[in-house]
Amino acid sequence: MTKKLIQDGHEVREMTATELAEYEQLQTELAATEAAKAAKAVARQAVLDKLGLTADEAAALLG
Amino acid sequence: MGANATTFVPSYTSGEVLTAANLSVTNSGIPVFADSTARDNSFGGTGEKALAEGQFAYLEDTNTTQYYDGATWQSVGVAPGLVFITGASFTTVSSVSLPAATFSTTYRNYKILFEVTATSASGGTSIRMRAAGSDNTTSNYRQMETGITQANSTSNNARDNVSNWEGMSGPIAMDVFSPQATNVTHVIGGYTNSNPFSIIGRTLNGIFVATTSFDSMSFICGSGNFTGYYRVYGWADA
Repeated sequence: MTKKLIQDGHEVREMTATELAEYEQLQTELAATEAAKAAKAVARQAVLDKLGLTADEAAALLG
Repeated sequence: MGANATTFVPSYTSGEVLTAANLSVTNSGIPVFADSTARDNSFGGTGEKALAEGQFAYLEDTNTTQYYDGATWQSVGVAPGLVFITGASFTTVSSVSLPAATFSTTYRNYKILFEVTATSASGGTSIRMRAAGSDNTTSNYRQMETGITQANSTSNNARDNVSNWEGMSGPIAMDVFSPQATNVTHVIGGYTNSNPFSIIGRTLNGIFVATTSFDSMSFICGSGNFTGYYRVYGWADA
């Protein structure tokens, strides 16, 4: 298990097992969020490609 | 009443013989009073100066220096509206928690400045509210941000029912509303992602929708570790 450091107030220490589990769970959530954003961007670009529009042209069209 | 406090501000008549007590009061500089009642009773009576514009006074009960503007007493050196509470630097850690009891009943609202000056990997900063030494990881966080890139492209960010406010980087400035009260907590502010490959300026509007009392807040590195500093201030009510 990889140890992570936390600065708790003015003390720097290793994360407790609970804190480490929360930290790793958060990393998983953030990775999923980033993946969802990337997938959305790919889907958006696919639509733009079908329409033959650039991102700026689409923004101008949609206001 | 302190040793220098007085209950009168004397006025003398021509030819009057002055006592040591008279001179002590006269030479005391700004007269010191126990409170505003003692102050008001010390002017205008027999043998006392008439109150007039420019008169100074010090009140022991409130530790304030005042001057009379001709109509009312005004305080000098009014306490600042923004009062420093805590601050620290951090180096190559994966998470930073403000000290316990940073949020207290002393102030209702807070200003926080948090800046990451170096990171070991890409990834923004996430924020969680904290109480009694534990981060709140419930799915009660909501986040709405409007943003724009340096290339004038829209870069908004919105998340609902998640366990943190995420994606912030660079300097973050925010006001935190009622974190200590058993109330919904709001954060309002903004940040500038200064990653040279993706410069983004975003507002930050976050809500913790449950009525939970918090005494601290944690900033969690999105990946690897980060280095920087933070400062926390309390907004005075008066």
